[in-house]
Amino acid sequence: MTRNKSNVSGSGFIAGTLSRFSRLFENELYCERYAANGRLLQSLDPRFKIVVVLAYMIYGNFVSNIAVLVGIAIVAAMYAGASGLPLCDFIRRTWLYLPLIVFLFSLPGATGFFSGGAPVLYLVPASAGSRGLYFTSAGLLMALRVSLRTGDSLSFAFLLLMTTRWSDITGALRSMHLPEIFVTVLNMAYRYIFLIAQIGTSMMQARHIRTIGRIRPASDRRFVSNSAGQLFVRVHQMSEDIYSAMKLRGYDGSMISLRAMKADTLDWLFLLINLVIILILNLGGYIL
Amino acid sequence: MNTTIFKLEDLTFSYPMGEPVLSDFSLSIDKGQRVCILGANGCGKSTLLKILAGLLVPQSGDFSAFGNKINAAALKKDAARSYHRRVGYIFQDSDVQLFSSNVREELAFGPLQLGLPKDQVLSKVDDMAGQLGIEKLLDKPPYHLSGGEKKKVAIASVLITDPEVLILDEPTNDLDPRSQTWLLKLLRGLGAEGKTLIFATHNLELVPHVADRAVLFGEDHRIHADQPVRQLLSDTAMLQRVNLVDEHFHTHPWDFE
Repeated sequence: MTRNKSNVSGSGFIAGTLSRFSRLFENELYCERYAANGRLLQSLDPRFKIVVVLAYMIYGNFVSNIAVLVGIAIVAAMYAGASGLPLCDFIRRTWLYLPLIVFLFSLPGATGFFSGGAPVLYLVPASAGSRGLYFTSAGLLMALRVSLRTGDSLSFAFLLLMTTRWSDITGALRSMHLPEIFVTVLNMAYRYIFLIAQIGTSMMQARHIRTIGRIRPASDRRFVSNSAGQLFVRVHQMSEDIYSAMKLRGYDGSMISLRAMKADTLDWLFLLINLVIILILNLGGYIL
Repeated sequence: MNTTIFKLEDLTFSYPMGEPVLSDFSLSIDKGQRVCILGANGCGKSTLLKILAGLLVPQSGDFSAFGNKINAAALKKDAARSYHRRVGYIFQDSDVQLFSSNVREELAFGPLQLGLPKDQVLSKVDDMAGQLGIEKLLDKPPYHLSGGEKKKVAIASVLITDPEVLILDEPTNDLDPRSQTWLLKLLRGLGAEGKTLIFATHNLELVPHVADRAVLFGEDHRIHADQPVRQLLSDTAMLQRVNLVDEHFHTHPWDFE
């Protein structure tokens, strides 16, 4: 899978914003394509996937053994492979940005100032009257642990989103007895974010094609605040029409949904296998 | 037998802090009529359609539908639900009408809220999708649809509850010529089935093919003519007086075929 490049030309704030809007749509199309490919995770009941994903996330956030955290990451990568997701892209999206940033931001806490333990690497050598500035082993392990936990959670969240249609996720949340209004709001927010992004893109493009030469940052800021205001007014009008459209089709505040989910043997087996994997990881954590 | 579906007498409506959009307005629409509302932008066409759909309530005057007086009290909870079951409304902007996460759920929304059992709803969804040729779209999310597909889904989502009256606000907006022809055939078919059709449009080529009667609004928000469509469209001087067309507008005999 090659990553789609944004088709927005130019540089600067407007081109950058257009490019981000454009990536939002690409990302959605990318998710839809993999959610429909019928491989391992795609064929499972979304409720079971949500339970398993949450189990790994919660377990990963309680465990402190680095090997177990790496093990969880390997499990996520194996599931990605078995579900037909391109592994390089999966790793890039989950591990390259956020966990790395979290690790770098945790580094100050890994120095001798904040964490005790044996020095591993000196940044400023010790001298008479000064202990110097160094990373401690406990501090580095702490930073690595935080980064791995972030990566693990991100991997499983990403797995869920990439292998499940949004409508199935919200359907599963509904059948798991989350408040109806919460799921409806979530669903509609997801539905209309694309429309709002489309309106935003058109506004940005209208400005982009009339822009000649450089624009002062102050003018850019004014444009953004004006656009945000205009977008708000349009979305407000639209929200009233959406509510009217719902009322016209019988909505009176309590939503009745079509979705009915049915678990089969494969789903229960999936749940059982993952419980066993978590038990093995936990046992391994005690041994290592 | 009384066949009047909508009766509006001396009706006045204005939006908060605004000038009256309709004042001393009277109109009557009979069952099975195909009525087209014409007029320049901002003359009150959409407001009238929203009043007929029970979305807006006039400040004064009498409005009755299906023999019952319609006011704010008559449009609450169960009464509103039964009114909306009989009157379907298709918005100008299809996007506001497509709020579910995929087309199947969109089509099922109305029948489900009206209390039909799920297996019956699913069968109705399949039937409706087959009738409008949108079976392939059923599992798609609305934001992946083209303008024409969105309009088809919006129409299907209303027709699935089988309303007696269908109100359409600028139905041909954002439609390519092929989709416009599709819509025209659909509306003719619905008219032949006996449904009451009321629509506002600027597409004067469409009007003679779908409507029997035309109501012409002026920029003063009053009715300037209420005539058979062909008669009204032939009177270009009147159409110019209400600023709907310019001097280059003309009709051909084949427009009415």
